Amino acid sequence: MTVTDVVVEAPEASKPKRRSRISGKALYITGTVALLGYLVAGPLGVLVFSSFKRTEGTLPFEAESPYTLENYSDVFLSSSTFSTLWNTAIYAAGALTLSFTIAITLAWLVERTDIAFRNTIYTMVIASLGIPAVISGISWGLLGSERIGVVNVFLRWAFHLDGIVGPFNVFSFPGMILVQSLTMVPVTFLLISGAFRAMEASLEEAALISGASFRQTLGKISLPVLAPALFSAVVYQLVTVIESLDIPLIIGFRGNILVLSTRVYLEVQPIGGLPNYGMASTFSILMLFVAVGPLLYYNRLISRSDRFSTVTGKSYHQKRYELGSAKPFVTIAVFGYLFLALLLPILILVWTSLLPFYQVPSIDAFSDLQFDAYRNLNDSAFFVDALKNTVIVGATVSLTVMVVGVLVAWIVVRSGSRWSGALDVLAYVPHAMPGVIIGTSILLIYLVVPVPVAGTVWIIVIALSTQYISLSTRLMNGSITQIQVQLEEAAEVSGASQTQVFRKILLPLILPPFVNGALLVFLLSIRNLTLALILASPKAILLSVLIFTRWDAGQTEDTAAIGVVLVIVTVTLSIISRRLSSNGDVAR
Amino acid sequence: MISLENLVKIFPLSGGDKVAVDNISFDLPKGEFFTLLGPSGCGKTTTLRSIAGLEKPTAGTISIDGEKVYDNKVIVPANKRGLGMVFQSYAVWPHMSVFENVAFPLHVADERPSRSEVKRRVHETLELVDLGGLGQRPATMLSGGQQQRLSLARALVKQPKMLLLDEPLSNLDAKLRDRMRSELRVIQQHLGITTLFVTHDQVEALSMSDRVAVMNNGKIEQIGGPRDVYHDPLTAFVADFIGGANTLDGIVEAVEPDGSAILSTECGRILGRGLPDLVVGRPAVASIHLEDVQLSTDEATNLSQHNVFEGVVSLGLFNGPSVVYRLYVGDQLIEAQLGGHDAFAQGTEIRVILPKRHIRILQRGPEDLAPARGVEEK
Repeated sequence: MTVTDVVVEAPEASKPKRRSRISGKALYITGTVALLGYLVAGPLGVLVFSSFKRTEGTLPFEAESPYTLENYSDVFLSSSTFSTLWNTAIYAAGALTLSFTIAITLAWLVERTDIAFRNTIYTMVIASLGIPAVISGISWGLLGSERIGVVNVFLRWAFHLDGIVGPFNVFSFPGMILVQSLTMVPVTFLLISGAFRAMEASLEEAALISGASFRQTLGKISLPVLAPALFSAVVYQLVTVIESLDIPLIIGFRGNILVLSTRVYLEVQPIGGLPNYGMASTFSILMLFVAVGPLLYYNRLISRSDRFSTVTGKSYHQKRYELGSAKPFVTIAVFGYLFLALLLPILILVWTSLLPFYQVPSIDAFSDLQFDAYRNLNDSAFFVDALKNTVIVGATVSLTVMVVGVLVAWIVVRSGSRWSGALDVLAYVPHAMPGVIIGTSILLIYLVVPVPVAGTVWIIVIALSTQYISLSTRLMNGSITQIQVQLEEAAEVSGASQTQVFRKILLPLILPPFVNGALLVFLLSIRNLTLALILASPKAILLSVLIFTRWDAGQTEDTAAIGVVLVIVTVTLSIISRRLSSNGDVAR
Repeated sequence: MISLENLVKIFPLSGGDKVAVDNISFDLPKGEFFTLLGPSGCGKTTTLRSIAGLEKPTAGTISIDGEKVYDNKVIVPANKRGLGMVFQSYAVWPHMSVFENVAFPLHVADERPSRSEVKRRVHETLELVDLGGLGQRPATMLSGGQQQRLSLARALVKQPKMLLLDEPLSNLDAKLRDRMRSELRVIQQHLGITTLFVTHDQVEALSMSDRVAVMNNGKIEQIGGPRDVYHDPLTAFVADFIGGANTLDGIVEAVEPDGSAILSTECGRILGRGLPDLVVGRPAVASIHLEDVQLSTDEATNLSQHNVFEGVVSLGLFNGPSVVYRLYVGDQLIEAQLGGHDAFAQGTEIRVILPKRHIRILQRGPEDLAPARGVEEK
């Protein structure tokens, strides 16, 4: 568009001054590609480079760190690597199986049956999305500890068990899988419930009319039709479980169970000793391969998804499966689950925060209730700083990431630029990059690049932005695709320049998903422990890190009090964000 | 073959119950092509789904082949009723090939036929619907029209007692729809299968059916052959919905012993064929089809005759085989459809003749939602 052409000076001064005309659009596309390349390709390159450097106490870029293949031989020839891989595999398989069993059951009940209190169930599942994994880990640590865990005390009392320990130890492989599964259920539910809702009921009805029984319909029609949606959710969550650090660190580490993410973390932040960035990078690359395989498969699935599109008819009111006499039992079972997964962890947190030292809940202990932990928080400079930092980081990251998301999505969906394909892939890569990897590589970059962000909250902002760029791009891709291109063309025909079209037509139309996306990113940023922990420094502590360090130091009451504050914020945010995006019409 | 008695379906809604099907009854003899015709929300689809077993009626009886499939004691589930159904969305299973889609009803049958028998019957049915040779295609690689045939083949493969068609043609484009109308009717007559067809399109209903039931607000307003419901509507709603006829409002002035009646309207007095329930002094409508209105420029046409009025041509819309004229007699709009060779210029003063034998004088019930044509134009 000539209207938006800008004039730039030719850079070389030696030549006679010449005006070269570069269109604003080209400038904008080049700029966006460069920005994304810096954010995404940079860390990848650093990672590969560092993995070939011998670093024991030194930095990969220093001259005294020699080039070497030793990191690789150390990693791949060590039996501990294989036990780590094996642990990761079992951990992932277990957590995926359990979380999907629960999420599929919940999604089917809420979307396709006449279960009572559908809206309440839906809201509670979404609310549990707001509980940060670090909080889940700590709450379950309190609930499931062998000696004083509420669950164990209750079980011993209910079944008249002897002894003062057990029967359930959360700091074990099954415990770690259980807690990880519970933290994954809400997102899994969100990923698949749409498919359950959107599935044309006539597909199942046609099977019934054909003479198929309920079970035949479920097995031969419903599940196969939903298979693509379920598969892509499995792959997405597989990446989540591989990259998750919170539960492996809080629960697994105490039970001496190491997975890939804990190994990388321990190389970067060892307990005693100096960080070994070379080994960390090599482990990261191994981890990347484990995560990228499924992702490539996932992309292939997505590209074939149009094969499964069908003609849709009028929306006859969806008939729900009648649970009949089982309805009260199923409803009670679901609320039982929600109590266990959502209410119990919050209750124990609140309880713990109100006591001077942890006690098993009892009538006697009520007399000890006090607000000292909260008063201490108010006086603690650490807490106030962390709260301030958390808000600053959340706000900056959500705004940055959403703006970049819009810019990228417009190029990918609308510009027709030859860069759009490459940009789409580039924006997608961070999704496959586990948080520990992003954290490590960004840490390395700003040890060298002369931008003074190391040791401040801004390095955390950069890392989080890198992490969530793929989410915001996905979200905005979807929103812009939904806006008919004719709306923009009509504006252009009416005489608007491309800049005006962008500002006056596109921006107002994508504002609602933009705001909702910003809320979501804000929520994810402030509950993120991995990046905040790896990049933390005394001047850059976030709430999630403060919670973790207090817990690690055994200050249970402080931990719980900060946790309660964080949970109030995140749960509120997650409910608001769902209300905005669905106007509450989801499970009516 | 199939019989419905006093079927009622009430949907409980938060703002009060909605009566979707209001006490309807009908019988279908074997081999009949029977159509439920009505506007959206009239209860026709709910009736069909109740017969299919996809919807549980609130009250009434449904029997198929003399066997009760629904009453207050018995509920036979959908998968045990032995029916075939084509959905509006076709409901073609996207994860199966064409062959697998059609073979599915045989695979889940109580007595599963042998592999070769399945193969033979699927191929036979695919040939019947003109999809022979496409068996190995993924079902979603078919065009809309082909998916529709596939859905029909799947409904027919088990040789069901009865075929249920839920607006099967509404997703097709106009040309394909015309062709599928005749093909569907040919296949139905060839197999002699009892068929219940649901549509909101009066052309489909009239051209395909043995009998038509016109539904409105959950009730059946009239059941009869296509010619009966078209030429002799029993209610103003039927006249308007089926024929798109001219309807002129007025007050009944006289009812003659021979059945004819006189209606006093804005245009003047109209003489037509009345119904026995007409009451002198009560509001009623005169209905006449567009193609039955005659026009004449002959000044000699006697204006003192019954049903001859002076009008003005306000618009003519030529569509090939015919022209539709909009005429005004005073403030009353009347439409007339003439052969494509007739031509009257805009503004022509013209005699409008409404032949008595083509006019029905119908009581206007308070429940008739469709306003008379012309009234709203004033």
